[in-house]
Amino acid sequence: MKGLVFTEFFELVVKLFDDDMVDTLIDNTNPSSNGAYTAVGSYDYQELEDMVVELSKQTDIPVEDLLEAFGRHLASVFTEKFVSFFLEAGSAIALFREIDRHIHVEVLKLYPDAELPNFRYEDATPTSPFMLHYRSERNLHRLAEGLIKGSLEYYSESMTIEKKVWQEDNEFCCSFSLIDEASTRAVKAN
Amino acid sequence: MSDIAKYERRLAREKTARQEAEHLLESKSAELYEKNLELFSLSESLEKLVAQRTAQMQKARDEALAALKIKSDFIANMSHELRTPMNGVLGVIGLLQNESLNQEQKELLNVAESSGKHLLEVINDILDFTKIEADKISIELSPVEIRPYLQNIIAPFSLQAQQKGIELQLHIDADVDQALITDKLRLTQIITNLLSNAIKFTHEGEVNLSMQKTAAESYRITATDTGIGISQENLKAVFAAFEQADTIITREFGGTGLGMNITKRLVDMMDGQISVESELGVGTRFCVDIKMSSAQIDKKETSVKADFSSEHNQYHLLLVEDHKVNQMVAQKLLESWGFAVTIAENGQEAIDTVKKNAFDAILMDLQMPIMGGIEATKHIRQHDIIDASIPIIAMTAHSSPEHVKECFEVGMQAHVSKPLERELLLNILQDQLTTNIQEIENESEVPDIKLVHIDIESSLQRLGGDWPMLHALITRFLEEFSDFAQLFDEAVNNDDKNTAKTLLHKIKGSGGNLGMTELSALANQAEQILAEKTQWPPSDLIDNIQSLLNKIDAEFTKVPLPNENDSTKVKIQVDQRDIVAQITLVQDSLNQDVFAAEDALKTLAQYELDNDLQSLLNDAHEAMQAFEIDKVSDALSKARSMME
Repeated sequence: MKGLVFTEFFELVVKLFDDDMVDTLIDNTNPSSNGAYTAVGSYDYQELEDMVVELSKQTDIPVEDLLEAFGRHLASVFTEKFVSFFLEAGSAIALFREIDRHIHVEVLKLYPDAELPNFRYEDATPTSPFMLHYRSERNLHRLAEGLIKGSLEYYSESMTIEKKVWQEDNEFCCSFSLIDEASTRAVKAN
Repeated sequence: MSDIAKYERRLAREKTARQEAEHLLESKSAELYEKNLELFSLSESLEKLVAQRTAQMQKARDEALAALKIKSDFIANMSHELRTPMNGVLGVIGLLQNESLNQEQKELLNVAESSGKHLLEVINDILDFTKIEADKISIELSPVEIRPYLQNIIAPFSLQAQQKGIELQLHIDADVDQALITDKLRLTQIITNLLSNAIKFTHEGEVNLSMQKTAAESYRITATDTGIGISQENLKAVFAAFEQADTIITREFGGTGLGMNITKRLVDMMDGQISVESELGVGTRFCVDIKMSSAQIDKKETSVKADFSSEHNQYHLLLVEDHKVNQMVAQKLLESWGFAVTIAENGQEAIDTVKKNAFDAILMDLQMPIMGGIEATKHIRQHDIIDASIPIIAMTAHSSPEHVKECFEVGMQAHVSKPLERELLLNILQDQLTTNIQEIENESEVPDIKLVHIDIESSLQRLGGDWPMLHALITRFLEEFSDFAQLFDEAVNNDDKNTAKTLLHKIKGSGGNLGMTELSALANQAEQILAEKTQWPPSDLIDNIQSLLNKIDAEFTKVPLPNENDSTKVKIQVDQRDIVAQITLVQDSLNQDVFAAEDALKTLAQYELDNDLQSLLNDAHEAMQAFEIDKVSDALSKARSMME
């Protein structure tokens, strides 16, 4: 996994708790990298998973909630680091449409070894909302949810998110339905 | 755990992370550097490839252009070659028309003439096209009396229209000026093309040619027909080269497909515009909008042509010219046609002279000291010093359209370029004086001699029928090369290829000019071996040339000497001074105008001279035939010093 994720995880931990919590997480999980992460490096995903679980243990916050919070934090980091993608897209749905066909393509150019999840989408129809289908070897759909929510905040858009989670072929799948509240209200008014 | 230890661990962690980051950055930048090199060499090889391809394409383009040029040169040459015999055919028809013929023969001859002229037009079309392509056509302006001019243009088409059963009408609006300044030749081409197209594509109904004044100095010439018309789609391609509306039309109607393209280009060159409207099955209308300024015309009757054939005609010309040599050239030329000539040195002198004497025409140089031709003409016309019917003809070295236009605007009637062209000047004088001026020909009796190895007839033509001259030249030639083989052997022994080449070249050139076709061909063959293969030609070829020379000599010695006294050629008795003056004239003309020099030399040949002088003159004449200007000059200098 990209080093950026680890360094940003520590940033979040320091922001929410303190530097001692970072030490504790490293001491208790004993990662092979010794917790010396750099944003431009790559590290074993297991180290992150271990630290998230440890953090949950230390704070009594469920892992899933921690992941979503981490997702929101990453979204705010991305809006600063990769602002051009956000400006170019102009809206959350447009940005989500670009994940697979543009953003991840560019990421792979920069980091050929990056392991990225799939984000397939289905456009809204009169009878169904916009759908974003998450699919990954890692069970990080709540991180994805945090990213989605963070992006909606960036664009000051508000949508209701419904999700369906399942596993298939050793992969974790999650379908997010993004329901535009304005159009939902209009449908209801009818 | 103490705080110190905690911070030390955090520091160690950060240090490790930094070192790893630096290591990563270093390897990434090395990677980048390599990729950059790769990209650079890739772009370099791409550039090389592009340059290579571009060069290939340029070469291909140049080759294509060269091929195109060769083709158009070929077409231009062919058209020229075709025109020469056509002019011969038409010339003979013209001569036949002067014979007494019965009505049927006359009609047949007219048909032959019009067909010949038509063929000539097609050839001219092609030639024009290639000339326009090469930007070799210039516009020459002159005043045109528009009504008779258009009637003349339309006349040949009337018969054609009548035969097809269609009506051909000409309408000229009343406010169209009587005479307009334009390029007569080009305008004729434009209108002729429009009319011949209109008649060609019209099976019933009518063809109209009309001319309107659309604004000051703006005219519209319209050709309307009720013919097959052109589809909207094909209308766009009407003015493109080599395109007729479709190939069926080419099959049915023939033609070069160049006509409308030439027409459009000519209109463009005259700063005009051409447009076309058409509807299939209804007809076509071509409009040409063109600028033309009006011109003064003389009021004399142009239909009466005086017939005149004595040595002196009744016309008296004033030649206004400051340059002595030009004076003499023009004077001799005019006198050779029987004119009486008075000379004025400049415009002021011309005005003074015409006040005292009556002239039939004035030939006016433009650039002269004291007063130029434009100013003088303006003065003469404004003060009506001479009758308006007396033409003033400009003689200018420059014939740019503006120049010519100015001449006409101040009241001149014609324009002739310098150096003077005999034919052109004669035509203009005939036009202006409505006279048939007959040249005083130096006719000598052409001997009835047929030789095996010399084509006397053709070489006599080259010498203007001067049999004594030809005889002298052939004699000299045979003398010079009697020991050709020996001279050539010497050159071989000295390995002197230049001398050998010169020998062969002379035999080829002079022999050819003197009608020794076979000899010339043999010499050419030997010369080429020498020049191209840089080998000595085989000795039997040289032997053949020598033996042919011997045969020619043997044959020619039997030809009787032309008896100067019995010759019909009349030598003119002149005094020493005239001879010196004429020699000076030739010398002066030599470096300016070879043709004038040649003419002057011919005049000199008419004078009665003593034998030594005649021999030098023959040398000069021979050298002139070979365009060896230096030798002409030498011979003349010797002749002059002999006189003095």
